[in-house]
Amino acid sequence: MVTKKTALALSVSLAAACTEPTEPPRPTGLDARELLVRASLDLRGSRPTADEIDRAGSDGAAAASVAADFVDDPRFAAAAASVFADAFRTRRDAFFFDAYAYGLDEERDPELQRAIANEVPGIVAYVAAADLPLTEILTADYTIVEPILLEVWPLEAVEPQPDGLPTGAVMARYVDGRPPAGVLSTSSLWWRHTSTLDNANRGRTNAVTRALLCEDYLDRPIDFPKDVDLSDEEAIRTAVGTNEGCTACHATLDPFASHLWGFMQRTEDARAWARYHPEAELDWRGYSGASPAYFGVPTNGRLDTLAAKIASDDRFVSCAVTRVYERMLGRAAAAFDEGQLALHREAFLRSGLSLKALFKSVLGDPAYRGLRAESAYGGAPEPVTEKLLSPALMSSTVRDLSGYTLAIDGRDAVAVDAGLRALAGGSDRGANSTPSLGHALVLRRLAETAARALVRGHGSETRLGALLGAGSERPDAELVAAIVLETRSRRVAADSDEVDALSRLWDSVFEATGDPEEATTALLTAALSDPELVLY
Amino acid sequence: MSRSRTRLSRRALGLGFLGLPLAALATGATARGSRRLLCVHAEGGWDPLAAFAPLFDAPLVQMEAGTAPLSIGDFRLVDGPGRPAVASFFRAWGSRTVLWNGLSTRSVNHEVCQAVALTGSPSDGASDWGTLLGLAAEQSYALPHLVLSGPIFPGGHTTTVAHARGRVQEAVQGTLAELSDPPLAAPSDVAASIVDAHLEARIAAEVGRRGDASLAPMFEIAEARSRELVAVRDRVSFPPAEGVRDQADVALRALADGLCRVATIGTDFIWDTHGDNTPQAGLFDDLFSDLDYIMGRLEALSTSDGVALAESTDVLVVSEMGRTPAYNGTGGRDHWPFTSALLIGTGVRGGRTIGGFTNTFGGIGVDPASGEADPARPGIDARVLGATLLALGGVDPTEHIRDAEIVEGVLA
Repeated sequence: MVTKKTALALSVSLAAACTEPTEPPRPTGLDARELLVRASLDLRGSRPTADEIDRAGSDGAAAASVAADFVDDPRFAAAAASVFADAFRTRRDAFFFDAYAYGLDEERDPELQRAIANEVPGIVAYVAAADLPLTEILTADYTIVEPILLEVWPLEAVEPQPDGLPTGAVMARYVDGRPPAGVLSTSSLWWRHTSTLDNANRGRTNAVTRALLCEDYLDRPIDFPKDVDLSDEEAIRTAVGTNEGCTACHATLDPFASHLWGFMQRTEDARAWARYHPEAELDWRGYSGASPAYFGVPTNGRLDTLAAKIASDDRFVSCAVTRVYERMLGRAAAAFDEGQLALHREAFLRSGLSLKALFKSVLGDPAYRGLRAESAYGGAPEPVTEKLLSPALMSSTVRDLSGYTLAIDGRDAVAVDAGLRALAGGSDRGANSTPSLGHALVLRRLAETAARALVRGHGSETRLGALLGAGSERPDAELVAAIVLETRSRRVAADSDEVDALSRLWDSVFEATGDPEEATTALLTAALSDPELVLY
Repeated sequence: MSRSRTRLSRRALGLGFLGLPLAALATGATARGSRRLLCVHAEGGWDPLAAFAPLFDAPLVQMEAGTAPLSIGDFRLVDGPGRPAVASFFRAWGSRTVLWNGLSTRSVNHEVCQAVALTGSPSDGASDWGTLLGLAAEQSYALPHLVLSGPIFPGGHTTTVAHARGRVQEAVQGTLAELSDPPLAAPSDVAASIVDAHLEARIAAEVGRRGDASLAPMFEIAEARSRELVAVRDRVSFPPAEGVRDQADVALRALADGLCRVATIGTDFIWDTHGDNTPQAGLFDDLFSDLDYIMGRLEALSTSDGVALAESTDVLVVSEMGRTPAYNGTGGRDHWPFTSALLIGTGVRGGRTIGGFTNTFGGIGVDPASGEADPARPGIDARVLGATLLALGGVDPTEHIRDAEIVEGVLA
């Protein structure tokens, strides 16, 4: 008998055997500073402070200790949430209805659209910050929203408000009788993933199984059966329930989808879209005809029952581990990662499904630290020696250093496709992990505008702003060294080549323009678009 | 992108677009390796039964009321009210057009079908045909594959693709700062060029420190392309382009200027007619009017050596899926895994239809060797279309497509 463990070991060893030789990684992996930078960006969206760099020094163990505390930083919640935001794909520019549809001032539309995009990530962020079991995202009887949604959706704020909420968000409950099922009970999830009567929530089902179970029906090869008349609607309906080529997916897809009818949007009415419709829960009978079930196990058809089934599914745990692992490593998991994934899964389970524990576990992974090592469960994952700053990290890093956000039409331009996100290689499902022209161009423009804002006195309390002061004089070597420390996370001497190069840059621009402000802007632009800031 | 590919690209940089004026790179040569491509996406799934598939004798297929068969040359089409531009186009440009009927995109999900139609694979990790063509000549173009709208699958070749969505115009022109809140002044050109030189040196140093196997060489290429684009910003324009025609103007200008080898544009997601299929006629009429405009512009525009852009440019028109042969309860048609595509240009032997549809609107494949319909094949594999496109562009399809089959008879 081939057990699961045997199969795993077999697949890992086969994968190792089949993997083509690759160029060897740097033998020592990341040094203490590099580890600190990577962990700080991945767990907090910002670069380490000078104090943290000094505390780590050149001691890898000290750096690991400092980095482990990053999960207790308030900014960790946003980093954790972004993993699942990409999975649910909710962070899109705009949804079907705008502020006008709710009688709101049109100028508030950016606020409304952002709020809808951030509801699902808000729940995950709260669960991460409060260190609740991840299953809370499926069992919560509340949601986390930006206040504008209280004005337009059937929501009431919870009193008293708990600690640990994302900035500006409130905890609220829907008051339209919808079953409590965490993210599955949010209107925004079903605004992102709409359905039609004919589709019968099948697309929505795949969105949920893909996000929470890493089961994507669309990954399965679809070869339409040749013995079914695809032009006959009744024949198709019969085939969906009986033909082997169809039932492979539909036997589980359709019964799952039957839990979701309360969110079917039948009319183009903004308020009806936002409401749950208990009266429609049984409408599956007239469409797919598939009795509610969870992968073969019949259910009572309620949404909260479905959520509980997902929460107790082994794949929910494995999927979360894989998503965090892939985000931290910046690459897709492969067969040679299975051993390490099993280790992190154990750590996650031991912690009671704490996201903080899971991120910490991956933080200690040799591959994350740029080392090739044999896993205790087999396989030698490809080490990650470098990562590229994603558009979201680009924005948060610059904001942290300068206090500046490139806001256009009321939104962070790097966070929306109508701004710069797509150009920079991002989307609502994540970002490219390799450089592109657009990425380079956006970084440069972001650096230029942030630099200009700093020199104009914006962000005087921020890490770079506090260094600059008035900014109208030639920065001395100590100041330039401090700028290098903040932007490259590296201490350099005042007489170092790095400082000299940036000082010469300032001199060249001043000589050409006679404008000290222009020269300082150029120096900061160079610092904020330096390759050491981008590749980490 | 593989690291070996990165090294190759870096070596090519010194001889390529960085070393030559862009205009000098635009030639009118018709050699396959020099051919350009404009991709037009009809997003949402067009209905071949409204234009390309006259299945009037198929009892299980519900044709639109008021439509009739129409023959133009060897093309068998559908004529009907509200779409005169379809027939006009085939009369005017049919000799340069190959109609691919029965293209199989293997799914009824928009994203999967787009991936299959454009890459031959349902995985979004594969690179689309346009990106592969751009990649093959990346040393010669600042933006090997310029994407103004429509689906895009760069795979690992992100340095060859520029996605011109959102505020790209302002990003290229350097006017983003003026739009920000509060408005800020952009840096002066002289200051920007000094920063450029500094960063170029910094990146070169990082490439040396990190090595060819790192991301630094790709970053170097991306940075260089970014600088090159900004350097020619007075000659390029990415104005907000809502319709196909506006987008085509931008794309064709970029092709003529030698800025890109491949340009991709789209109709926006307007073809998904579940609720009511009647708009398909008007959508086809608009699209073919736009295609007629594009063909005219290809004739009118010249590359830097004075040769008509049409001599070196082909146009691919594709929609990710077809629509069901029967109407649904609301008069719409739902998703269907077989569709059609058009390949138009001087690089192809036009005036012919490849593949076909069965009486139940299934796909009929093509024998690549003869170009004749092969009923044993259930539709045209998208990889056959891709392999033929790559061959048209002088790229060996076997480098990218397993078991690649080219329909040689299509190529001029």
